[in-house]
Amino acid sequence: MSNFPDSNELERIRSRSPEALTQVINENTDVMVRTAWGLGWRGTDAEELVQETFTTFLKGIERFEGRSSIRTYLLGILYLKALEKRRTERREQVSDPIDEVFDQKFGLGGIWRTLPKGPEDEALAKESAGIVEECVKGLPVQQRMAFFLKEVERESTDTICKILEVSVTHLGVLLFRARTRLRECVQRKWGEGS
Amino acid sequence: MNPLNCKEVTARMALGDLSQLSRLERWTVRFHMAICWVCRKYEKQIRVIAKAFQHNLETSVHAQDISNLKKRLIDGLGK
Repeated sequence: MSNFPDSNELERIRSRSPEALTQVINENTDVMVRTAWGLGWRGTDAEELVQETFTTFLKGIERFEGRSSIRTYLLGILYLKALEKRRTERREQVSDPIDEVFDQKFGLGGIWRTLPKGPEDEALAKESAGIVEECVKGLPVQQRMAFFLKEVERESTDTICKILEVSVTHLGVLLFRARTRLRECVQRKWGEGS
Repeated sequence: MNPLNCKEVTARMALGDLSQLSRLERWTVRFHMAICWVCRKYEKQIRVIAKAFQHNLETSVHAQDISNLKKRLIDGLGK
């Protein structure tokens, strides 16, 4: 059931067949918990977010038309729940101060003015894990979700656009901002540590 | 079409999906990445950051907790 459900599976899910729903839970809980953690929820808070996602899914099960995979649909609900919980957080703006930080890296002709410093050796990934954890916390939910789905879950562009309900162009902007913000933060903290 | 500069290439690499670009633009981005070591260095750093992020999740999320949660969710279906 990881792909689009066929009409038979869809019918069983929509009629709340316990076997079908058990299968949905067994196949999707892992990715949901990982995503909740990826978005910054921890321990019981992460579990609550996943539980609420399933509850919302079950309540509105008639609305699931099978036009996306169950996984995509559930991740979309989880993302909305996460946004709701961070309601106070500002929405993605047309302009973001991080764009200016990025622009300053380049001289005339759009060529790098300064060399980007930071961890490059993959072996350092473990050592820089703490730094990255801190820096990820500074990302708005939308950018964090985009970066997580792209770089950790390796979801396709189309799937991420469906989950976040954004266009490909907007996704490019979100990922670009997430990467710039993370790299700036890691570079700063990396410099402090060395 | 003018060749893309570092700033433009970095912005296009963010999507990580060159299939969304036109064939010419895709070729220009690949060519730039092949000759520009600074842009390659930047991309490598992003990979390391993503890997560290992944490492954090793999070491933090425990299989036992997920299995307990699944059980609770399945038990809750009957209620």
